[in-house]
Amino acid sequence: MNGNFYERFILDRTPAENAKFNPYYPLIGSGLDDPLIVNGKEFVNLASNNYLGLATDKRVKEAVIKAVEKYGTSLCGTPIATGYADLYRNVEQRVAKYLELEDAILLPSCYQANNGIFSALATKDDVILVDHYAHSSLVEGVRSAGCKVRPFLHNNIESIEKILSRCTDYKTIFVVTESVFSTEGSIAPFKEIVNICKKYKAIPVIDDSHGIGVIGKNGSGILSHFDIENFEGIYLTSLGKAFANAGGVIAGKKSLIDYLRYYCPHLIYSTALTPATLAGIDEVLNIVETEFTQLSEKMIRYRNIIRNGAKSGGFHLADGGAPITSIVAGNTHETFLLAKQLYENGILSTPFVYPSVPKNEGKIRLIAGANLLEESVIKAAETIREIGATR
Amino acid sequence: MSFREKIIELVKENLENKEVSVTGESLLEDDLGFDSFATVMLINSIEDEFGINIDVDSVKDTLSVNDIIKKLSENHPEIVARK
Repeated sequence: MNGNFYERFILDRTPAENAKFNPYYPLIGSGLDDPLIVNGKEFVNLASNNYLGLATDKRVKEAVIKAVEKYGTSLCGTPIATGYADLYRNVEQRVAKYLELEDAILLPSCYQANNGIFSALATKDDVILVDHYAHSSLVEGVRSAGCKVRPFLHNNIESIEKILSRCTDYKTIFVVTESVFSTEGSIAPFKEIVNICKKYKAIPVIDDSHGIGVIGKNGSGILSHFDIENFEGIYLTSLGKAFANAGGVIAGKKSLIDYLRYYCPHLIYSTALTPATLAGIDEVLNIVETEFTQLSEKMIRYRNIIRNGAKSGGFHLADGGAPITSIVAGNTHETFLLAKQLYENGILSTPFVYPSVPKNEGKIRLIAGANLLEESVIKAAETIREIGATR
Repeated sequence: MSFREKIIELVKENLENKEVSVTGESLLEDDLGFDSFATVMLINSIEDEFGINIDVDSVKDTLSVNDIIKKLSENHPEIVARK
């Protein structure tokens, strides 16, 4: 009996064996510094979502240490019980104000936010429209709701409107997408999506995980990027990317957020974010509110250096307005081989293969955080160019 | 437009890459890059077009556009006659 059970779960190692390289679970032996230590060797880190380079910022680390000294490592409770420290409430309020939304709650991860929101709010009488290329966390979230799910073509307003025009028999219609699609760096036409939602009385839901700290005024994300005021929808984001900490956010109208404080199981049955994380987020807010412009300029300059290197090397790049360079690498084997070549030349990248991306459309994602030395970025761009030119 | 042509048109409508050519022999996954969501989009489009409900399980093992046409013809003969 037990033998049969375990035989069902055998990892397919073929792609890694064929490439003689496994790009996943690299063993990191340092903070996200420049250089980054991977498997004991020095690398230029183009793999992390540390857009603003704040994960090892001295001020953030000091704030975290102070919080641990005051509160300890954990409040060992869910937010509804003993996890709701004054620090927690302060960060909730600051995040909401930063986003220019009425209220916010903080969850242990954006995956939980994206899962929890739909199971808490959607019913079998509702319909959820979701972008074809939405992140796994959103897809799992909408599927868990148990209502009709209607995917639409990626970033395609016509596709959304065609479906909306047929959604006449549902109690509530949700339209779900991401702000910045992380495998390619494209930005959703969210202003148009919000407008079309108004026309059809639908609720827009946006995951801004790769937008917060990256686009908009002071890095406050997609709503600011498109000057969307009085947002009538639901805002989700991660605090583990540009915000260099951990946690997920659900933000929006105060009445809805208050409801979720008592009815979102992913919040009320999860141990609260630790004081260290909350203090880290608090300090990142201090930094972005005053220094975002300089950090952003550096991030965009680095993106352009890497992008120009890849273009000069003849690589085909995915379109995108975000500070992400995405090389279209081919099938799984070709994607693994390119990641291997970069790795062997001291560059850590993020490869995406099917089913994270469409079949035979593997991508290598490169993000140059603002903490990197310019000389490292220039050297990495030249290496990428050389690899491309010799392929 | 015949029933077959209509299905091929709906398949095209639900492709992200409009440059891919579609025939009855096209394999959904290997030739057209269909994933589970693309299949759901196609089924939804067929349901909208013909006003029917399709059991997702009935088409989940289909490999090609012709397989879809065959399954629909078997399970919903009324829509073949309509077009």
